[in-house]
Amino acid sequence: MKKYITTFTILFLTLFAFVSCDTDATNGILSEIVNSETEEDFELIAVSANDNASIIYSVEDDGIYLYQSDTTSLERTLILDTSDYLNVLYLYLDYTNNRLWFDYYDLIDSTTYLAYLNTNDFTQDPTTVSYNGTFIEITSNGYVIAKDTSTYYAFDLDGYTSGTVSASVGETFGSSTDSLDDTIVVDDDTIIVQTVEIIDEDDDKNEFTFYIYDGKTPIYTGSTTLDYKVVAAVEETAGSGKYFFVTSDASLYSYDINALSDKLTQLFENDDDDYYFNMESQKMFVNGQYIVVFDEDLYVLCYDIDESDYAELDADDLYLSEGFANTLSSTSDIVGIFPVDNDSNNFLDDNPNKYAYYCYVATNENGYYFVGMDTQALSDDDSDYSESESLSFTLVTE
Amino acid sequence: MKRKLIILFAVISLFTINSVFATDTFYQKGDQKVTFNVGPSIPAFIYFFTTTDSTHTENFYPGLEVLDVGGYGSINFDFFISEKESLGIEVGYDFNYDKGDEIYSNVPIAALYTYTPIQNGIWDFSLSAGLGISFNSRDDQTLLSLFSSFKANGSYFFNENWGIGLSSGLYLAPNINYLSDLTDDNGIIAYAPVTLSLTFRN
Repeated sequence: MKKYITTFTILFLTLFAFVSCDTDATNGILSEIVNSETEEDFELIAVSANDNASIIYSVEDDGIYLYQSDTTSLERTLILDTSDYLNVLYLYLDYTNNRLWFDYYDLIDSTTYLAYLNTNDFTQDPTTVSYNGTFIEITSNGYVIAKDTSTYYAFDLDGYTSGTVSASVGETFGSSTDSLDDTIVVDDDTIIVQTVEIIDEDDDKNEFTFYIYDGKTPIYTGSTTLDYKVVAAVEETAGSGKYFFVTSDASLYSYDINALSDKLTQLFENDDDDYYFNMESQKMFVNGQYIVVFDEDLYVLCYDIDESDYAELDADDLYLSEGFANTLSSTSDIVGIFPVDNDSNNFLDDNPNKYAYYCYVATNENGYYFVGMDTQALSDDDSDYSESESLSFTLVTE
Repeated sequence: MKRKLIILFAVISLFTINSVFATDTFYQKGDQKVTFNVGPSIPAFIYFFTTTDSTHTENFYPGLEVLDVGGYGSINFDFFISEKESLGIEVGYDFNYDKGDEIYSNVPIAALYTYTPIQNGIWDFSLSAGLGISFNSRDDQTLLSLFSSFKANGSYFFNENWGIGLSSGLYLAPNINYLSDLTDDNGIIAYAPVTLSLTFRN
C-alpha cells in the first residue's frame, strides 16, 4: 500500500510542477464568468433622431424610449408605456416643433390613430390627431401616407399646426386600381412614392409609377414609369431638383425635374440579368463622382459616374479598425448616418453583447469608403448604458 | 401490539439490508472496471481567494447565480490493488453556460483512488477521490489548472459483468494564475455532476 501512496504522491507533484510552468493563463476565467451578464435582446420597431443623433427615440416592445447621448455616455429612458397605445409601428421626431409623432391601433374601434407627444413635457398625454383616409405609414422624414377609396394622400407633418391632417388637391396621387408599393425617403423634405400596376403576373412584369414630393416648395408631383421599382434615391445637391435613382435591377438613373424634356436618363444599365438588387431598406449618398448605396446589412454598392462602373462590397469585407475618425480628412466627409438593424448585421452576430445604434458612412476623393459604427454594450442594468464605447470599421474598395 | 410490529419490522429491515450489502468482498486484487458516466452538471460555487473592486467584490459566488446547469460525461478505469481499494484514472468533459451565454468547459484528467466498502456481486457502493489537472476554457481564454474530485457511486450489476448506477460528487478546479497581473483572479470553481453510470467489470 505504501508504494502506491508514494507513486501517487510523485504523480501529483509532477502534475503540479507541470501546471506551475503553465504560461497559457491568458485571462482570469473565473472573473469573466462572474462578470458575464444576461444579454438583453430588444427589437427596435422604429427609430427617429435629431440631426446629429444625440437624441434618438425608439419604439420597442413595451414602449417608446428616449436615448440621449453625448460623446461618452448614453442614457435610455422610457417616455411612453405603450400598453395603452398598441401596435406602434412608426415614429417621427419633429425636432423644430417639439413633436414626437407616432401611430397606434385601437382594438375597440379597429382604427389606427395618429398622435404626437410634446417632447418638452412627456408627462402630458399624447395628442391624437385625425386624418383623412386609411392610415398607411409615417415616413422617417415626416410624411403621413393614407388612402381613401380612390386616392392616396401625403401630408407633411413638419407643417402641421392644428386640426385634421388632410391633403389638399394636388398632393394626392395614384388611383383606385393602383397599389402603393414603396415609399423612398430621399432627404429631410423629399419622398418618392411608388405605385405598382401588375402588367403580367406570369412574367413577373410590373410597371412602377413614382411621384416626387418636396415639402420645401409647393409640393411637386412628377411621375414617370419604370419596369423596375426605385429602391433608393438621392438629390445631387440640396434644392437642385436633380435626383439619382437606383432601381431593383441595380440600374442607375438621373431624374431632373427642371429639364424640359428627357427628365429621366439612364446612367448605368446593369447587364447582368441574374443580378437583382433586393434591399428593403437602403441609403444612398452622393460624394463627387461617387454614388454609394448600402442597406442595413452594410452591403454596399458604389457607382463611379465618371467611369460608368460600379463596385460591389459585402459586409463580410468589413474589418475592425481603431481610430476610424482619424482616417477622415474632415467631418464633412461623413455623408450619412442612420440607425442599424441589429438583427441582420454580421459584426453584431459575432459580438452578441454589442448593440449598434447608428452608423456613419463616408467617402473620400480616392474612392475609399469608410463605415463607422457606434456600438453599445448590452446590459439588463440601465446604468450600464453609461459605459458607452465606440467601435469602427474601415471598408476599402479594390 | 404496535410496539411488537415496529420491532419486527426493524429486525426484518436489518436482515434485508445486511443480506443486500453483505460485508463479503466480491473483488480481488487485479480486477478491473471501466465506467461510463453521463448526466447534468450543477455548478456549485466559485470562490476567490481575494476580492477586488473591479472584477469580483465578493469571495463566494453560488454556482447557479453565475452559471447554468450544464452537462458532464466521463470515462473511468479502475484497477483493484486490494479487495476494496482500486487506483484508476478519470477523463471527463464538463460544460456550463454563464449568464452571458458563453460556454465554460472543464476537461479533467485525474488519477483516482476508490474505496469500495460495500460489494456483494450485485450491489457496489464506492467512494472516490481524484487528483489531477484540468483544462479550463471560456470564449478565447484558456487555463490549465489543478483538479480534484470527491464522489460516491452506487451500482447495480444485472449480470456478471455489467452494471448501472448513479454517481455524484464535488469536482474542484482551482484556477491558479501565475501571471502577476492575474493573481487577483485566483480561485476555485466547483461543480457537482449527477450522472448515470454504466460499468463493465472483469
